[in-house]
Amino acid sequence: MGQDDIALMAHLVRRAGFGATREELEARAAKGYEATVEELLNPENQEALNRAEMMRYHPWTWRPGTLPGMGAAEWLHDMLNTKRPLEEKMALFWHQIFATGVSKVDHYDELQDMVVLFREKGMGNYKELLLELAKSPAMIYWLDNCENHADAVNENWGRELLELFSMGVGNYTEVDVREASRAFTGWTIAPKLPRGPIGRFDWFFEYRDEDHDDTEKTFLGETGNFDGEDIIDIVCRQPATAEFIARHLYNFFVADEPQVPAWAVTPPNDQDAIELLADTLLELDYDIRATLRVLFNSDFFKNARFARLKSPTEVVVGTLRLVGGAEFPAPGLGDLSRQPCYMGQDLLNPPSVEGWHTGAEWINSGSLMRRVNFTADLVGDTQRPGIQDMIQRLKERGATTPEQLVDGCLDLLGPLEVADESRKELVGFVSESGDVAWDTWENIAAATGRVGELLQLIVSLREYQYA
Amino acid sequence: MLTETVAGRTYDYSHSVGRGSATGMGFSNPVAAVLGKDDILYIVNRGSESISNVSWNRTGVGARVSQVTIGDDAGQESFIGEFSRYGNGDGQLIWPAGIVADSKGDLYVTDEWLNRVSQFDKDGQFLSQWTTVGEDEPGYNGSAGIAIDADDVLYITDGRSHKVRKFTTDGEFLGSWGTYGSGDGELDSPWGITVDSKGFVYVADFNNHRVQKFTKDGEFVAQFGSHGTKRGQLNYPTDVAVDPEGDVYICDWSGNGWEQGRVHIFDEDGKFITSLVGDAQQLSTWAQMTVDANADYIKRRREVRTTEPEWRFAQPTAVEYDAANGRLLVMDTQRSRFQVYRKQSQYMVPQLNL
Repeated sequence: MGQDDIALMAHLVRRAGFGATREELEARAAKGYEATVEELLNPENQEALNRAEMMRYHPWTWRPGTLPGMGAAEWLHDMLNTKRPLEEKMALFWHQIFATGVSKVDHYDELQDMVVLFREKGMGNYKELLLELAKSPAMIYWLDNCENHADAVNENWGRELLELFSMGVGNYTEVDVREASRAFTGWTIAPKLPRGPIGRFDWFFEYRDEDHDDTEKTFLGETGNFDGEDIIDIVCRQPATAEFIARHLYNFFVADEPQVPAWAVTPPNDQDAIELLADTLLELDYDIRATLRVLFNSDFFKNARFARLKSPTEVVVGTLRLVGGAEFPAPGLGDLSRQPCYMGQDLLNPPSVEGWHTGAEWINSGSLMRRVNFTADLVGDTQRPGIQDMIQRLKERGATTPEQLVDGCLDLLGPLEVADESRKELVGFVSESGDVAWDTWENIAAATGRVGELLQLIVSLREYQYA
Repeated sequence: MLTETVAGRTYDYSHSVGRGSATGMGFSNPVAAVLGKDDILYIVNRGSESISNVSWNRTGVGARVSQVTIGDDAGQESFIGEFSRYGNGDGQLIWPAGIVADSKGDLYVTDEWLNRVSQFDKDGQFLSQWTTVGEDEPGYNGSAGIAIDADDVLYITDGRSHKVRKFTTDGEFLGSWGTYGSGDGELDSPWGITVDSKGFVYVADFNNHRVQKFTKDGEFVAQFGSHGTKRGQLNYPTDVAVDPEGDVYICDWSGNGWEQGRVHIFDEDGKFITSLVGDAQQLSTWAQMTVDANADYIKRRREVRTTEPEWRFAQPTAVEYDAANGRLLVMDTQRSRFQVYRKQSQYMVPQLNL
């Protein structure tokens, strides 16, 4: 197993998951790249999450109502503990696209149900996922389809379905929006028991035939007495839809693209890659798993190391998984689940239906400070099992000089590639106190402290913000 | 209202008490209860976390012990008071989990994060606290369920190192049993615990989906239930109670149609008798007060086709048998209330063709 195998594996699991410890990287690298891709693509072979532990220790996470900002606590815990990293990453992917928020829905539990849907169907057929999404109570309320009546059309869902969930701006007309909306009339939610005084109750999809516009529609050049399912069928036959989803996949898994509103006027950074993914989607009838297989095994993916800025969720979950010690849902989980929000990504509460702006737009002076402080606190805690493991490995490698320590830490934190200038700075910092030794308890304690400080410096570098 | 009739017994739903409330007349994720002196029911509220710019040990809301009386029927319940609060100071609670009363009426509350037992008098005055982490048994420890026998010996389950530990009421360690596993006598995240009138100890073996019966010294006697979601099977049992006639009540998180949760009833020989799924067809008096004060709640409730989802248990976490009155109390955790059932023994079923 070569160093590059580890680096490539680290790249894969940063993108297709939330990173991994060195032990996991070595185990995966030993299995091989393609075998690991297959394992990630087939999560059902891995143990599912056990919800009972969370319910036992944090019963408030069951239907958290609108407890201020903590509705994603369970999800964060899932991301930290999942044995099915790609399944969870795909849930995050779809949440970014089908962005639905508690700011309006006001029921975290309904948004959690949406995450469950993404987890279960996220690597299946996109068309089926769209259909389930159209029946999702949270989405129906979020985009007002419950106000979309046969005799009073509300275009919100119909418009966003075309603009943000499938084809993208420029590929349909205002008439198409109207006609699509008409086809979804009567797709609504059944009345549910109100929240309080004894907690929340589920919402359920309901189709009301008497409120459905049962007349002819003309949509994207086709005419018929369409209902919502027909609209989704037609939408999925459009190459624009495949390209739109392909570009999302590329932006999320490969390299930062411009923001979504610019897609109609800005060509992709890698047109060939988008075409390959879009063609795969169309040829394989929107089989997401098969498309991901093509993506992860492609050269454009393998060559895109550190070409994406980590999202706040990736920063938080990735660092916690690296340093370890957060597997048990200890008190303070609610506050922990707020950390991505403090960096600009309030899970289950995106700023709008457009989701979050990604790439460089994640970074501003406040969010960067949050990223650095959060990660530096974690890696500086040398008692954490992941850091202990790194120290043990440095010791076993006999890293004693400043150069060896810097290269070792960069390796164990990624492997991370940093600019020569940055490396020089790091070596300079360590050199201030000379070599370390691993022979006596006192020397080990001193070396451990210095490794902690070095790790803190490294995660403060620009390079650590990239996946 | 007759709800469940089985061989020689019937269980009549009586009423429910409670509503969601972080303080006062209501509960916040009630996870344990005990009947103490003067017919007072003490209810342990787990509460929830909240966001604020304070340290981790101050962010909880609703954790406390409530004191109520049940009354004979709906509307007769009373809120008496409450004590303790979220925190790691003396007499405070982070993850309150279980409660018992000793022969004097003093109360012992477990905390499965702080790994300690806090002792209060019957009025809620804090008396003392002691750790359940033994010097000779280090490692994770989560003092979860607690039971007490006729000699005032405390039995405490340890959800994270899979043991039952015995203590005096002063916190003197008397011994322990249990190792991690799924064989006879082994445990996987034990939770609720009780002692029957003959001195046998019953443990809800949460992750093993069964209840185990032990002698007071930890010798395995019998197993109740097995894993599954079908009739009589258990799926994450949370607590157990035994009535004076030997019937065993196990609450667990099996699905019941709308929500998660049932109370399974077995006879003393381990034969499954029946299950309860929750029958609160009327809101509790306190819950109704909330609805009456909110016109929009009333309107929305008129529109729903059925209120049946709210009758049902949602993750019940504790059962307590009120032997003096022949009543079963089920802590309906996610609904922040408890449901009361009356047991009638020697019940004769009339002929079918009547």
